[in-house]
Amino acid sequence: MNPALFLPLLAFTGCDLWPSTTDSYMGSLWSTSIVTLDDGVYARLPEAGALVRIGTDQTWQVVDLKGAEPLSIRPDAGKNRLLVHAQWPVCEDQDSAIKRVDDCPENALSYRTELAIIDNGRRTATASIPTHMNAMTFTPDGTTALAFMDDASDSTNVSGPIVDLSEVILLDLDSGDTTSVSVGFMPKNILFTADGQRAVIMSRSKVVVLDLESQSITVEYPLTLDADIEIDPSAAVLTPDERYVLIAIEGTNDLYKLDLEVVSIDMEALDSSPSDMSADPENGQTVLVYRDRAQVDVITEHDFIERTTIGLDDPASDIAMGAGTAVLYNASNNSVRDIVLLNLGDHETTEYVASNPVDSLQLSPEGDYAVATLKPSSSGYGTGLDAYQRSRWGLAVADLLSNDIVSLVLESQPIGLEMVQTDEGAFALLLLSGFDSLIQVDLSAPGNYSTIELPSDPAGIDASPNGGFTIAHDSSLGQISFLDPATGTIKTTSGFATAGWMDEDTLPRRDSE
Amino acid sequence: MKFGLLHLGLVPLLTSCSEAALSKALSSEDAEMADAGSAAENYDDGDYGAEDGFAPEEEEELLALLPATTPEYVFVANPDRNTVTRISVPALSVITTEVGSNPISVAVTPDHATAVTFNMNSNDISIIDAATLEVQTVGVREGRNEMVMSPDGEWVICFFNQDSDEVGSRSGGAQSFNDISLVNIRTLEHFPMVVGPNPRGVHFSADGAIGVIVSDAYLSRIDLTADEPEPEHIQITDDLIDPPLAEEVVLDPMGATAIVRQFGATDLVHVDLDLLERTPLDVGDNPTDLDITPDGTELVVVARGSGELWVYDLADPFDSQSVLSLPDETVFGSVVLSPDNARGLLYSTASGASLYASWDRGSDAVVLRDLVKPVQGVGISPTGGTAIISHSAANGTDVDASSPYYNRPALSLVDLDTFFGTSLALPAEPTQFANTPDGETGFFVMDGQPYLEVLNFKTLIHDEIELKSNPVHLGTLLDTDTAFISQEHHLGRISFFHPEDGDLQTITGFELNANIEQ
Repeated sequence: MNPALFLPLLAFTGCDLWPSTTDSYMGSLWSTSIVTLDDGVYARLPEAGALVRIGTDQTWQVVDLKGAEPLSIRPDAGKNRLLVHAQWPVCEDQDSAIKRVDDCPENALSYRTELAIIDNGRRTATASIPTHMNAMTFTPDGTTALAFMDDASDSTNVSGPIVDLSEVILLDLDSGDTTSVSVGFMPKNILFTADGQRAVIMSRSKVVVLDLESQSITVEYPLTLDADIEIDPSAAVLTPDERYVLIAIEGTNDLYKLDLEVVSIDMEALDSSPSDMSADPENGQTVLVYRDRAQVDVITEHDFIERTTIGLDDPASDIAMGAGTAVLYNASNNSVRDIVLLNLGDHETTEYVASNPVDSLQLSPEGDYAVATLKPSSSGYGTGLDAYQRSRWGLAVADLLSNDIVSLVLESQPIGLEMVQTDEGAFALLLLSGFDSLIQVDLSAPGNYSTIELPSDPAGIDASPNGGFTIAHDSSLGQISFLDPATGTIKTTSGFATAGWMDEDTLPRRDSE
Repeated sequence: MKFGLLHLGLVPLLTSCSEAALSKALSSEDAEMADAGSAAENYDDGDYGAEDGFAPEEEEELLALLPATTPEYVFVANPDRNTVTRISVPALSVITTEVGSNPISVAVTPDHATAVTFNMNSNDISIIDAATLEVQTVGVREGRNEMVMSPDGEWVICFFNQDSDEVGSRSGGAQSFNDISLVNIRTLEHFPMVVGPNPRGVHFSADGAIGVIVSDAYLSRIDLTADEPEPEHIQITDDLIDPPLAEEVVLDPMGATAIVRQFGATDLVHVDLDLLERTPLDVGDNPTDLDITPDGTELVVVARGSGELWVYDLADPFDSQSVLSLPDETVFGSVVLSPDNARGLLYSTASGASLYASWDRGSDAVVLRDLVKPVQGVGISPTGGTAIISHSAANGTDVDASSPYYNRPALSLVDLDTFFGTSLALPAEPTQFANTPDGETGFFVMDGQPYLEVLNFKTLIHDEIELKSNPVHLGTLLDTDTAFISQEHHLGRISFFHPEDGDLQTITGFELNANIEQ
């Protein structure tokens, strides 16, 4: 399978594919939630209030944020630029004797925030994006970001005296220019047409179409006529021909179909509320699964919805799309262990049963394998080897070209899983908590794995745009390993977390610069 | 007559199907009958005083916010939104336009070019260009609650019908119940005028040149070809203190003659609309139904009390009459004529007998025939080939408990060439019927059943199409074989069924389209 096929699908998921990295702060000098770009690896240094770029050759440099402290970092869509939410102190007392932040009287001290755009280690632009806007999605060409507040995330940040929860901000990633657009309360799902001309933004009881060139709303679709009824979209997908937007609604069986061409609304009564929907560009279909119903629906005709229902043994909550196939699994129900391959050409299904419930699932780059991390079963361990397996974390490899599935027992909880395709085949790279080796699983023979010794326990793994991988280690002074999957060689850079640690907390005076 | 109120955005009112309505629904040829397009009179019978001991023959009427159709469009009024939705067929693209307040009815001109809504709360009508949806508004008299369009689509008349469930808008000031608004929808001229007390219905001549408003004691004739139309009133009873209600009025296609059947009267009333003269017309005892033949030349009256069928030549009804004695094994109170005028079906909704009779118009032979249950309503397919007879759940006098139709509604199909028939036991009473213009396919829907039933009039086989929700209205797009079924849904739902390929296309939520902002 060509991994490029995934790219348009990913663009339409509307999800925040590049979550910001404010978590995993270990109380040490650095946050292991790193971002790997093609020019290096970026990490936050909370103690120093700095951002550091780490190279492969035991080098690093502190990125100049003009006195600001990075609060969160995220890559842009192409992993070319880094977006940094940062804040800096402002002391209204202009006394020249005030050199450090601590010197500023408390009543004169305030903080301001910005989004800094870092390109190749340099702050090339800044934008006024409030820090409560904790979600961001990108146009297909990657030149524009839409920032909004994602109510599903854990941010409770209130930045500024007023927070407009109906606002999205368009950010030009080259210039840093921003445009605020009011789109409706709690925007949460944003889809883009492939040409990047339009964004479809779902919010409570309303959907708008945003023309990205004029940065104005061209169509506003109501989802209800009764202001007392709150309609919250739970999932949305653009049909393969991009004419329709299908919107599932939380708590109802109604599927809204918004016609973007002949502007109108139609609705389809489903059997339940879909938990996931995906477009199948190869066959011009849309796949729907339900968390609470053991069936998958395939919409084969979108003009007047024609739907084929295929029964499953157990409900599936999630879809991983391949080329002409869909892999259905359930990551929300601890009693379901099924992984189902749906051939979207003939609607035939192949059922695989893993040993344990699925925690997460990925397809190999060419789509020949589905690799799932398995979580301990919450009930019914059984006895003997069943109990041994079900009470532990696991890894399942389903061969999608056959009926075979292998479930392996893991020593500890997986903390990172990446896929790699080489001339020798497809491999899964697995990191386990407290296990100081990288496990490389040959997906054609999952039991035959190899290990690559790491300098210390891993904390996470991140794919690099150049095909390599970066492994963050559980090391207080900062340690990152660079893995070349082709050769299996590892280079490690350590100690970067000390950068700026001992520096004084100098008060920036941006106004006087 | 029973009305069931449905609180739906699309259709606020629906009744069970009546004999009259069933007949109209099943015969497109009825459009040529003089009383087509009229707002039929529906009276509270009270103590009807029938002398034969039977209840009156039921003349129920479907009152509903029926969508208006052309071959290309369906217009659906949305009273709660003050809008009209136009659905294009077959693309099913939806466009909504704003009209006046509370549009309670919509009609389309026969040239399909214009739709008209009567907006009860704003006391106006919206005249809508069907293609462009450009809207023009004409005010009408305050407080009217019903609109009728003339057959040529040139005029509409808005009046206050006391029997309507719509109350009309009230401003609190003086109110007249018998003034009407006559509006020319081409010139947008409005002619207010006063007619007799308590207007109950409006009739037009087939060419739309004459309009007749029926009220308690008068017929008001309006020459619609005049530059300034004015009403001419004809008293139809001598008793102006307690006038007998005009139970049924038919108009000949030319608009020259009206025949009135009054409650409790022993004669019919013949009204010469040209001379404005009223003359009693002899008839048998207890006339219960009158119809003008499809060719417009004769009047047929069922005299239930004397068991006779009276046939009048409308050109000379006083001297050219024939009386046919009906079989005395049962009573007959209603007649339905086939569109080709070749035969009639005689029945009674009041006798409780599971019988009907065929009447061959050529030979005048009347043959009594058996049914599975008593008759609730009768219709004939547009080509006259098949009769559709509905039966209620009531068992009448002769249905045994062992019958599979006992306590169940039913529907009978009868081939009118051979009188071979079949009957369907139904889970609920049919509420609406429709058919294709070629007379090959019929449709019906039932109360509370999410199905469209499809009848093949040739084979008498039926098929069932599952709908997304319970049906509210059923019809066919004008001059097409496509059936439309509006259904219960708070945001509007309508399906289109194409019998040629069996496709059912449904759009839902189209009322939301009114609020799309571009």
